[in-house]
Amino acid sequence: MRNRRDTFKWAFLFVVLTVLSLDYWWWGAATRLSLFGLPTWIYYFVALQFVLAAGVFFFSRHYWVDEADDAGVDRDGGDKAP
Amino acid sequence: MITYVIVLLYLGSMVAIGLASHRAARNTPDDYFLAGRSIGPVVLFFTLIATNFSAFFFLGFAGVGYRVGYSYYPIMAFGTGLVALAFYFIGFKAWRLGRMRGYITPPEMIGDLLGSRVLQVVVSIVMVQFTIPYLAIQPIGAGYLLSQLTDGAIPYYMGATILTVCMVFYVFLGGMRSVAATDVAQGIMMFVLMVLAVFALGNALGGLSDANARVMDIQPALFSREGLDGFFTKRNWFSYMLLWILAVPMFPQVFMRFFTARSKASLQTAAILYPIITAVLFIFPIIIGVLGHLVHPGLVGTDADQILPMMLASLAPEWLAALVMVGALAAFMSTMDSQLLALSSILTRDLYRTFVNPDVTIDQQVKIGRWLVVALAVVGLLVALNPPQTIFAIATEAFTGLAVLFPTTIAALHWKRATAAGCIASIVVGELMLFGFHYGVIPAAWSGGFLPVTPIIAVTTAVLVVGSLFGQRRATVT
Repeated sequence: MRNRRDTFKWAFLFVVLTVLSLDYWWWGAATRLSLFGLPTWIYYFVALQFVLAAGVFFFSRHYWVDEADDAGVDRDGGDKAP
Repeated sequence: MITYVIVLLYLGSMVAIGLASHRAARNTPDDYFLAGRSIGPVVLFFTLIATNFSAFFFLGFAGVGYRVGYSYYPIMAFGTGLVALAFYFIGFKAWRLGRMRGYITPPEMIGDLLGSRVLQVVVSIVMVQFTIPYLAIQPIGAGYLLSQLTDGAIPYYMGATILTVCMVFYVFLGGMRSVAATDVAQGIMMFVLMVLAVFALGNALGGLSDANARVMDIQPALFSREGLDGFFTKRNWFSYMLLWILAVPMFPQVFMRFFTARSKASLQTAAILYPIITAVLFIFPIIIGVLGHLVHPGLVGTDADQILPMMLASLAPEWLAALVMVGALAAFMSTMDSQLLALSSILTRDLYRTFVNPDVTIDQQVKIGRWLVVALAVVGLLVALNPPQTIFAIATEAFTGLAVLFPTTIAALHWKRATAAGCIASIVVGELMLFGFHYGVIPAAWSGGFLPVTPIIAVTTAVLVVGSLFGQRRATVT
């Protein structure tokens, strides 16, 4: 079952990833070229996105799964016919 | 000659796929607008990327790659990749509620959750207003592209008409089933052909590493984190990131995809793959744009948007250039067909049913939806005949205009104290601020160096919270 600690853990992960996308430490720095002649910071973002995808994968396995039963509960406590 | 064969094969294939999918269709709004809520993981993923990656991905990215450099990659790739989180925060709950209550359009869901027809209409109007300019741009771009592909043998307007007629034909008949099926083919084409283009052009320039090193020698700022001429500041970087995350899920053609999922697994698979595809795919057009400085130096303004076809014409054989440009046509068509269907459903369900005929039957809704697809396509073509500059000026603000709906959507789904009055006030204030910034009524300096979206979202969120805390919640509309 989900609990407050799980919620905090996942929220923390995705907030950290979002903050890491504000990569101001690269700004104004000398550019170095890496594989295929692309700037090094390009690979930083590629890696960040793969970490994001992995995060979403584990999130969907461990958190999203448990919430299935209560996520669609009617705001007003009832159900309505289509 | 080879160009005509390739274009004809492409259009014929799309119509055939659309027709084949139509055979499974039933005559209900659920089926016509949402493919019977039966779209599986792979198809949902491809239909999401084909819908969201418009002509701007194919031609515009290469253009900004030329003008700004590699710094444009992360803002698009990571900003769009983060939208995967919205598949859970918005998509999952919208999907569950859609199945329980039969929602077909986003305004229908938001209005019902907060018990307000007025809110439903306000959300509808915003979605229609800020999607129509983009819809109108698609046939214009497609017409220019087809004309360019055939060296003007097919005039611009004839090209726009041919492509629109083909698209309307399969959308009219099969609705979302045809759109989703063609999206899969178009999404695969876009991916494969863009990869092919990069490696062909890189090879023609002596390899990617060598070509990039030569561009670095002549324009090192294209490789800097800030971009050419310091295009990105730290504040507008933050704003762009905010803009993508908030705006993309609010595109009605993207939002409605959440309702179409067959299962939770469909949404989860699409959410996991989405950051990966944006990480891989978005770098290719940017590379082509940057390398364009080696072959076509000195392009300025909108001329740079033609860098992809120019590079292909200069460095690739005719058949390859034609193939890659057909990928661009696929990008145009896969976005426009989804926009047509989304707007048609909103006009039918949220406006016609609310104001004109509340007793409209299920059969009539499908019939009206079909003819609205035709009518909207005609509107797009009429705009393409004589494009007014004002529409395009408004289109540039479309992302922010739609992002204004984000706080309301989150509040409707996740905040029990949210009220319709608070949401309506939030949307109205947000759109007024947008027009204020756009027309200079609000001085640009008031945004503090951020893009307008940052102060606008801060104010709309505050208005929603305060308005809801002091307002009274109404009963749910039945």
